[in-house]
Amino acid sequence: MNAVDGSSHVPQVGFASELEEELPSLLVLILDTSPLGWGAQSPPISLHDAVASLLIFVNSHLALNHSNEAAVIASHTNCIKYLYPVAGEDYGASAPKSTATSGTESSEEMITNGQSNGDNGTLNDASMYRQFRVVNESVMKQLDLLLLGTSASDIEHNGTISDTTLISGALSTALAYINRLVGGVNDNGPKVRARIMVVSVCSDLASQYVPIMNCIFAAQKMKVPIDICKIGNDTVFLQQAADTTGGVYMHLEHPRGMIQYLMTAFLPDRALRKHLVIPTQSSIDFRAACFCHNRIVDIGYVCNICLSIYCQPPADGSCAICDTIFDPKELADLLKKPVVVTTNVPKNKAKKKKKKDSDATPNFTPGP
Amino acid sequence: MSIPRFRTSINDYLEGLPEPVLIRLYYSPATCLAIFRLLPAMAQLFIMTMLFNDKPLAATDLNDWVQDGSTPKQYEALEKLRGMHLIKESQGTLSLQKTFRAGLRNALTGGDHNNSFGIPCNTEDKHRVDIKFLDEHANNQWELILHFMVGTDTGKVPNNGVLSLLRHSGLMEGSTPSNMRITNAGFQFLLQDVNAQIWTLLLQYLNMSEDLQMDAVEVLHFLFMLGSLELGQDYTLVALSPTQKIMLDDLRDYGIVYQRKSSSRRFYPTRLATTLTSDTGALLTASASMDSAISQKERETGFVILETNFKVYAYTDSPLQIAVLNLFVHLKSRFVNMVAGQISRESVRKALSNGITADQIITYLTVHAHPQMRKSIPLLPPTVVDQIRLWQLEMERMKIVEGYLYSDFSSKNEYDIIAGYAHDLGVMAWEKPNKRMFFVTKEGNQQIVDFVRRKVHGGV
Repeated sequence: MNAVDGSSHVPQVGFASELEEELPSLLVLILDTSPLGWGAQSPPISLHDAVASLLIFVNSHLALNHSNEAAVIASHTNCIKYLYPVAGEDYGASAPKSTATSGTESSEEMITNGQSNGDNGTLNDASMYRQFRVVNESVMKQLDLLLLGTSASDIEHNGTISDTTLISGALSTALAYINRLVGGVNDNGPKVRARIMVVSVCSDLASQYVPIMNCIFAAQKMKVPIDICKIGNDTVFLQQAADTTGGVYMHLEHPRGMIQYLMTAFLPDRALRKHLVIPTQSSIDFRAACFCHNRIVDIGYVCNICLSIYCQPPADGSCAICDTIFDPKELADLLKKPVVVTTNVPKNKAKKKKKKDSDATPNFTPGP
Repeated sequence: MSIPRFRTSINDYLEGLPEPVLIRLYYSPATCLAIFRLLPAMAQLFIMTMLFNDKPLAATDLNDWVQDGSTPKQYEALEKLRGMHLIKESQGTLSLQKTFRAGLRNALTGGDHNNSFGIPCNTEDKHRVDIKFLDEHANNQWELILHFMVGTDTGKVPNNGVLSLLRHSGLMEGSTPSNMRITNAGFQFLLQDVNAQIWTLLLQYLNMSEDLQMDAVEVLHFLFMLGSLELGQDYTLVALSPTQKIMLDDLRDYGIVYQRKSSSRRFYPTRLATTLTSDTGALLTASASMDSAISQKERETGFVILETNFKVYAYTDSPLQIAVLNLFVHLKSRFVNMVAGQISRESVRKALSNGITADQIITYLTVHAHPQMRKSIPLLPPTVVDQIRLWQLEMERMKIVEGYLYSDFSSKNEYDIIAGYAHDLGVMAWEKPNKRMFFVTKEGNQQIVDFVRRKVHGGV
């Protein structure tokens, strides 16, 4: 008789675990399309091969459950771009499942331009499941457009050529997209399980330290894991992203076998991961970037008011973030070169790691 | 809760098929994809891992990969894969069935040339129909069948094909349309949601098709293909086999496809078809609600109010809905636009003895709840829900599990090892450690026997 009580038998509550398994999931794939980043990877893997593998991966994700959804966002050198779904495109209109527009409208639109679709040889192809085809063709077309529109000037940043990419922009777009899809569900209805996956080739992201960290914390709050599929050198902040949000971090040792990595490590969704041994990195690089020069620092100076990080004491004697004016005397102390002292007690104030004990002299003292 | 039920039923049917038939099924990528979607998540993952890996997978690798606490899930997944003949095992390694592997690969990469996903018509239809029309058509056809089952006088009688299917499936009995009567199974059928109802009928259709010398493989290919088609698109008949063209006639009667006339060269799938292999209502976002629009429509126009004092008020004048309510509610008064009644021990027991379960009643009340009810959480008054379940428990004092009894263990240690293994697999049904006896389910027995051979007798 104990088995029968109100709490466990109300359908919405009692079957929660079962529903959890059945919930559809949303995958937002962020693809780093920085030309220099991919250029550095070849011959091991070209962007073309990687996209082929990723499309099969997205198809597999859609194959797991009829209601699964996917979005693909390109993170380019100086902009981000939705590769799928694309607003206002035929592809988007004929795929009411994955656009946030009202299904009725887009389906009717499909009817009116159904004939033009019929003329299109590829869309008419019966060899592929429609949902797969819509995603694949949209991604390929938009990616072509994106790469054709890229000129040498887009790669330059402040006069220097760098292999950077707008990961922070892509992450915030992804989070906004997830929020729009998941947030639209009422309280009684089941939610969509969302996750983000980043395919990254760039190693230098220091200039985006603050926005990336903000995205990571937002994702953590939304309980959205960020999976990182890393090709090339390890990236500091992305390791932290996977670690903080409970996602998978995997550095591809053999990028040519990408499809197998994707299928094995990245395909299982959140419900299934509970039952699996998930690959994570054993040691995480927790270093931060300074706010003044975007350098990654091992040891830095921290403003005692707003906790901003500096690689060296600010030249104008005030915090660039919160405008706190530091005590000039203390600053002068910090700027002093280490003095070789003959006594046994070394007085080395300049090197202090992050935050000091309260009784010790603070790195900066606010002015009156 | 109808989805798991449908899943098990179609799965059971597939698992019952002999291996050569299943392998013929796997020649169609659309079927591979549909079958893949029916599998448990863990099984899907195992398949994906092996799909693009040319080397066979060592069985021990799976043990390392799956968390210790989840062994029953792993076992269940592998059992399912074996049942569907999807994996081949040799010398401790696993590999995918070749045909299935090729089929699923083709489905994912688009390398298929069998046109298993349906060929859209490339000429313009002079009598093009829109989605609204298709929805109405599907709804009318389907309601006609349901109304006929409850005996509403609509002046129309479904076609002979439908009648013989209803008779064959045991949902109705009687020889002529005028004296056909609904059976208990038929009442249970009415309580299911539309998607489950369609599958119930289609599975019966499959059984019947075998008697009619139709090839089950072609029938299944066609059904799974229908599930992957797109609503509002017209498809050509050119690629269909003769069997499938006969099926098309039958499916037209159910409202699953629309054809303007039987000689037409094209057909439109309706929403009933395109949601065949989907989980209707699983996702209630704005975009996906389209999929479940038919069941959704009922949901939006929910009409039942259930009070904590077991009184039921239903704002409906549909004879179909009133007949269904009458199955488990003692109806007392009827007005122009509503009926009122009371759920009592007698009325629920009557339903239970007709084979309707408490879950079915509760699901029905949840799905059809009045918008006014939706404001409260939980939706239904817990007192009523609990009471309905208690009434069911009164009737179920016994639970029958088929299986095997293990006894006469030579030592406590031996008992512990084997009983522990049975626990890990999740197949233990009953145990009595001080008498050194335990009972495992029928499905798990083979695993235990293997284990005993390996560990106990092999070791000694």
